[in-house]
Amino acid sequence: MWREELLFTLIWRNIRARRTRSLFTIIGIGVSIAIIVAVMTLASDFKKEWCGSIIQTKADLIAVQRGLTGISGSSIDESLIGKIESKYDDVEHATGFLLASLSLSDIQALNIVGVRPEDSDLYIDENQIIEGRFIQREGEIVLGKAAYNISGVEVGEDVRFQMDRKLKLVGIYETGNTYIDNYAIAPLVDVQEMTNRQGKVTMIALYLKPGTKAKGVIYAIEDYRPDLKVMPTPEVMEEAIPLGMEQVDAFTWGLSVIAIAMGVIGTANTMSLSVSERTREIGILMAIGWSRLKILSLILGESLLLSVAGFGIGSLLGIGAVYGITSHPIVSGYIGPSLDTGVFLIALAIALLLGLLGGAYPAYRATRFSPVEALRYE
Amino acid sequence: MNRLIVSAEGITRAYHNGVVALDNINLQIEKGEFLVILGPTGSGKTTLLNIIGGMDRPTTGKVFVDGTELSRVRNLSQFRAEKVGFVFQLHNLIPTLNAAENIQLPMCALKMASRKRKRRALELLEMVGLKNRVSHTPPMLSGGERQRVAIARALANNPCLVIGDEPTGTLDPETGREIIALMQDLNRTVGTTLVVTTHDPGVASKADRIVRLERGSISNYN
Ligand SMILES: Nc1ncnc2c1ncn2[C@@H]1O[C@H](COP(=O)(O)OP(=O)(O)OP(=O)(O)O)[C@@H](O)[C@H]1O
Ligand SMILES: [Mg+2]
Repeated sequence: MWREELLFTLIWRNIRARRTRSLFTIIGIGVSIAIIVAVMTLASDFKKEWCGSIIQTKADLIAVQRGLTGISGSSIDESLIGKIESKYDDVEHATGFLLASLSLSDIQALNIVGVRPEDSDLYIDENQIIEGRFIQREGEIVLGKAAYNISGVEVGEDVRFQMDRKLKLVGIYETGNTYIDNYAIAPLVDVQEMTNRQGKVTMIALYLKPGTKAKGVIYAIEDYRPDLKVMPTPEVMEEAIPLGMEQVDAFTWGLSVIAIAMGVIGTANTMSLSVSERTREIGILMAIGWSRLKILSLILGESLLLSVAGFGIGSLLGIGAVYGITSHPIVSGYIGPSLDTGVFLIALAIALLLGLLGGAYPAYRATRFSPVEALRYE
Repeated sequence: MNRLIVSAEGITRAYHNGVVALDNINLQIEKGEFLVILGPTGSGKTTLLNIIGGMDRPTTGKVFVDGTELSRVRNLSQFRAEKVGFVFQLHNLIPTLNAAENIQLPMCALKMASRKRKRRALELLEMVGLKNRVSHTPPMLSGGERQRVAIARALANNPCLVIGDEPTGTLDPETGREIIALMQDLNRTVGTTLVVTTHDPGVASKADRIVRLERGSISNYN
């Protein structure tokens, strides 16, 4: 059964005999894999957290302005909320959210959701308040745990914005979604005033009566107001991904391609050296009857083994990098270290691809040796 | 039937740079024969062995080995694995593999099962007097011991022909004689046909027959 065992022995011994070079090659591949694992994990975390932040509204449907990329630029008349609520029997309740990002100082920004205080329980549960209470009237604000950690403001004090504006910190919440926990929630009116968007909201959240078919409501509202785009909440994640997300994707792939190229070049370099150093050895193997396929397997096997080892080291390095990066206060508000097996499977596939691509040409060259020439080589 | 193991008919080997390494060689080697090819450096000994052993193809002429004409053989590596054993002058062995593993390499080419391979390797090591060097790697072996391992490896698949290109070339005369004595012994007991090149008249004196090669031609039969 185990007939190729000697081939594996030879591959393994060769890796061990050139310990230092093998180790550096493995580390090189490992760094490539670590970059891929880290970047993909961080990007997917970022996405997951961001998408989760919309789910948090618990709304069945969300209406935003049609024709925009992302949702941050959306602007809808607040008066529409009441109109929609009274016009459609299936809509039990409707409310509006206004998203804004405000400077606290020259270096600090705070993302704020403006909500109607009476609808605040639609965004944050009572038991998610870990200190103080929720906003009840104008002039108040609550901070997410992460935003609070870097704010330097205590409950009861004022959160100061530029232009002498301030809101009183009345509570702190923690949802577990790092994106939301980096937000602040303030009364809609205050946010409208601070952003000069009086009477406007970013999105309308719709809560349907139990048993209602969402499709019918979507058609009806979009028919009534063609300038609105109404989506089931989970779809908002996909559709309303802000412009930045596509750039995150492009960045992820760009970096991965560079990392792959680095790995392929490193592996090809090592394997070329390995093949030319062993010219005579390969000549002997050919002379005593080893087929070209076996010689090919010998070289490719070595590069694949190196790349699998690189995958192992790279995964550990990548996990370390993810934990290192997410523990830094600047990013910890946006991404939590959550590891996804999918990322590791992709990384393994990439490692194998690296080994194949890096080993392909040297292996091919080895099979083209003439045994006579190879044996004359000293 | 056919007592000839090798029959070379009108072999010429010319290189691209115009060097004619072999010029119209006719040579018959009988089964069980111990033939020595003697000749000065550059006379074409290695070239001739390579052609007989199925590693190189002649420019013109035909070579039959064990009844098969080599130009008709599609898979020469398979042919070599089955029919020919090689012992070279230097660096015969794979340095990272131990003696027993080196001997198993040709068996591996014929996809022999692992257990059978190991048993045969031990048998061969015993035959060449290295029973206690099974897991020594080449750097731990003396020059003579390495050649013994190479001889054992050449015999691994019971080839009909064993070729030695100056197998004693780098050994001291005493060790060289031992190696030749061993080869001669195996030639007698196993009956393998043996073709060996050398510069050394001492080696040549042990042969059944000597062929002298000079500037690509056979200068005399003995
Ligand atoms: N690849 C090649 N290209 C051109 N000429 C070659 C090549 N290989 C061998 N020759 C020439 O062919 C001739 C015979 O070479 P060969 O190696 O067969 O000699 P040899 O008898 O084995 O010599 P030595 O005793 O030194 O091993 C030499 O003149 C050599 O220079
Ligand atoms: Mg020679």
